[in-house]
Amino acid sequence: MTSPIGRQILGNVPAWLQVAMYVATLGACAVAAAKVIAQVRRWRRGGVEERLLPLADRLRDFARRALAQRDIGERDRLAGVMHAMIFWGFAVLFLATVLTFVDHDLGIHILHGPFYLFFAFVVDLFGVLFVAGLLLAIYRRYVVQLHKLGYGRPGDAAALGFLLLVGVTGFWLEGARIAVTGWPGYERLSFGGWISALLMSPFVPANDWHGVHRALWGLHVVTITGLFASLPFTRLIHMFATPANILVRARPLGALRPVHGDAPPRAALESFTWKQLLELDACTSCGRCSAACPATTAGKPLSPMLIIQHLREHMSGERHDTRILGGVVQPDELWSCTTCGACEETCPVAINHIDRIVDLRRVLTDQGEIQSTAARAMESMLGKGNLWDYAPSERARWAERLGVRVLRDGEPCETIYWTGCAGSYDEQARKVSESVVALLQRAGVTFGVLGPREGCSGDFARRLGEEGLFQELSRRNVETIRTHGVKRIITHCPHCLNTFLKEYDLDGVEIVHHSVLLEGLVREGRLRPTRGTAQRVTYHDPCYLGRYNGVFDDPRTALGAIPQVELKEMPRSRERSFCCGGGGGQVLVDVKAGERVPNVRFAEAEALGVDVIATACPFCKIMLAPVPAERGLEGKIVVKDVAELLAEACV
Amino acid sequence: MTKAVQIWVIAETDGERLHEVTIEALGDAREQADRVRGSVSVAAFGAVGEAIIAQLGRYGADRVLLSAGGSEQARSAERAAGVLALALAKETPRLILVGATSFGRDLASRLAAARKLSFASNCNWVKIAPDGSVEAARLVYGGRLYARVRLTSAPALASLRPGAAGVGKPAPRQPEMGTLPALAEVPVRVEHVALVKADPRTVDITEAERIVAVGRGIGSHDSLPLYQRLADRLGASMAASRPLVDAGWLQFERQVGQTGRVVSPRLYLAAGISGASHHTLGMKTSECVVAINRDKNAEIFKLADLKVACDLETLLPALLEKLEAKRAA
Repeated sequence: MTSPIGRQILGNVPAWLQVAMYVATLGACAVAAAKVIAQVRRWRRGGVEERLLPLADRLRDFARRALAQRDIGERDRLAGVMHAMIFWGFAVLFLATVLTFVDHDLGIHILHGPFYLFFAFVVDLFGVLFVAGLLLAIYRRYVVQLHKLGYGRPGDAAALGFLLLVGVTGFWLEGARIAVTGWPGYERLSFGGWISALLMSPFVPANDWHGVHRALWGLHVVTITGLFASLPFTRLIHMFATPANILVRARPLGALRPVHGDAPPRAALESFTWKQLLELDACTSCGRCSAACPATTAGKPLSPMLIIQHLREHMSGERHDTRILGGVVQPDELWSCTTCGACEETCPVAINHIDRIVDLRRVLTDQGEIQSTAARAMESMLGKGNLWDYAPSERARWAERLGVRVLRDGEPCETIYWTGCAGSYDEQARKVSESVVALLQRAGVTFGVLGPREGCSGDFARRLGEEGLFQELSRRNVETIRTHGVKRIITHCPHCLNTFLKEYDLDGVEIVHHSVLLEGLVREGRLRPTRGTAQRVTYHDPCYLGRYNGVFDDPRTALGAIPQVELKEMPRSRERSFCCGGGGGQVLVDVKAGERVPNVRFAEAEALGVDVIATACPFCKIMLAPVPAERGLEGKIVVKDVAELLAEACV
Repeated sequence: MTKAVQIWVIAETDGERLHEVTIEALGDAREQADRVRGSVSVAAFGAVGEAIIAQLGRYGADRVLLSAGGSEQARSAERAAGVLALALAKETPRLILVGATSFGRDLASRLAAARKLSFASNCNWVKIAPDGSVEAARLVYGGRLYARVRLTSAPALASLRPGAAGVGKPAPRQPEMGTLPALAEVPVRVEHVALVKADPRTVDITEAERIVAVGRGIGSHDSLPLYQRLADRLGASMAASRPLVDAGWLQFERQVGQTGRVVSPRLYLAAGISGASHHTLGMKTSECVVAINRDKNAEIFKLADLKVACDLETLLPALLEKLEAKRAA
């Protein structure tokens, strides 16, 4: 021995116990490995996943989410602290155990001298954090019983119990070791163990620690092997599945997985991708998605977390119902989704809920199990090119009145204003198109509209699960846009915008949202909003503009440029904006349960005491605009597009 | 007369009134007959009153062929088709037209099968060329394309889409009367027993002929029974806009609009409905819209045939009183 300071390993432990420990540890690892391999096999039953995100992005994501644990604490500070304590505690204790094996079994003696002192202190520090984190977890789950943690699964208590026992028996064992080795003074740095030893002393008969130490050593080994063997059987499987899931994240928000070939969609485990099956084990049912979900909040039958967890139960054979649709997942859950993306945005483990929901909707739609209102709208999309069965020839009637150039068939035009179905036909939304046109004309922007040649973008069709219709509409529109030699598309519809950007093949065509363009025109001085009346305004972020495409500031800057506008932020804004209730084709379907989503959102704005709810999406306007009248606030709060407010100010 | 080209129109009537599509078909037949110097005969079933015969004459029938029988017998397309099949053994018109109603569809398929006729269903128009050939056009592929077809058999048979042609100009004349075999002569496998009118209170609103629709503007829940009374007096079904359904005043099955039902009744009475696009999308094709709203700028008035800008609380009792007085009289 080179230094008197050091760690005694396996002293006082008889050889047969040592052998038993090695056998048990290897056995536990074998059990765990077998289970992990079985799960990997299950995941591999899934189909091919087309990944769109480059490795660099995924590595960055991995560093942020898995290593730095950023997202866990972002929405719930205490949960973040708790998880970091357990995560880093576990990691350090695990490393410490590995080091003792290295020291003892490989004969590489490192646990002595100053490094041992450092080691002793750090390991105890993390041990304390580990135990504290677990107590916090137990407090959250079993004492305050947080609502979002309402989904429990078998093994939850065992997982927490094993972890806690490993930590606590570790300290006891350390204390006994210190006592057995004669209380060396430097071991005060192993403060956890030292304190444990002091606390245990009065109960140790005749101060003979040898038996106690042996018993505690055995107990510690049992808890550790128990923990290891049970890891992949409880939610702790996320220790493997979650980092893997983050690393293989497939696609950005807003680009749905396309369907290839003509085979009818099916609802079976095999019809999900392997990534979607991996996600089922990556989910820790932390409940953030459901807490953020507008449908869950409004009392609709959907909880994104439960969809994932119920499918996980199905995958692991824990459920009696063998059918996915109508058994594991109910159609009304699927039809309640607004595809707003709040779940995916807040999920710390990078689960894509929306792809999965749309995949299942595709099956329902294929079987005709869809609300007649949606079916009707989709027939109209195909036949008439709009959602509401209006005549295509009427599409540009509003524009003709305003002297807008309506393009003839094939007439070349560099910049077009894409009006969308709502902006062409709906009274509420037409006010938006009229305002945009007035502003573009005032700023001297040259543009044309496609009028009858423009057709529904198909965003709703796709999200309602009618992939074939989407592909047909997309093919027609791309052809039209190419025929006219379009270089730039201006649109006020975030749904058209998103699908053009992420789901259409429009390389070389610039797609710009009106709020971005108008903000630029104001900044360049080409629009001068000079007239203002005192108004308190809150800006409602459309999901497909903000969360999906990162446009948060331009509409706010544009609104801020209007004199006497006082901007107020709702509690849920920007990335965490709360959906109007219209996305994903929800304008067309109505799951009558709980409250209406727009009413929930409206109440949030109302509580701010604003005069105007500004938005930048025609469907947000359609959903929110009728609410004031329904609540007896007609004229007191109005819903307007950013363009309308700007047009009123530019005179 | 036997040499001239004959066009037959099959009348659909409840004994008191002609179905509008019969008048439309008659107008078409008259126009075609005039072009080829032919004549128009109308086949009618059951007890047909003087008024109907006069109306047939007014729209250009040269001859009316009656097949005697009871009113239930006359509702049987099977019987009517049998009568016509017998009649066609003796006469050979160039073209037979029938309205593409449920009666007409039923009858035309049976007749085409029985006599092995060329048959075009649900046509937008049918023409007889000077050389005597018959051509028809119908919408296909969900209304996006026209298919033009030539009918080669003699006679040729076509059913006309109701409303496609519109009622033609009157071409009055005194029709000659003739007879067809009686309805009772035809053996049938299905016997009509009775026609039971749907109860407006329970009928699916998409099938309702008249609708009284209520919106937020009717005020309190207590006034709802008054509107039900109005609906009963008018023989109408109740419907509502979304907010009232959300509030649980009426069932979801009675919601008209974007996320509810799309209705197209002959009469749509909108009481206290502002006319947001969400709602009007569900009723814009109604035949006659009566809108009652306090706000004279309400959007619903843009769609209305009769606009009543007044307080419902004053109008409704007066309206009920009138209707009830009329019923008593």
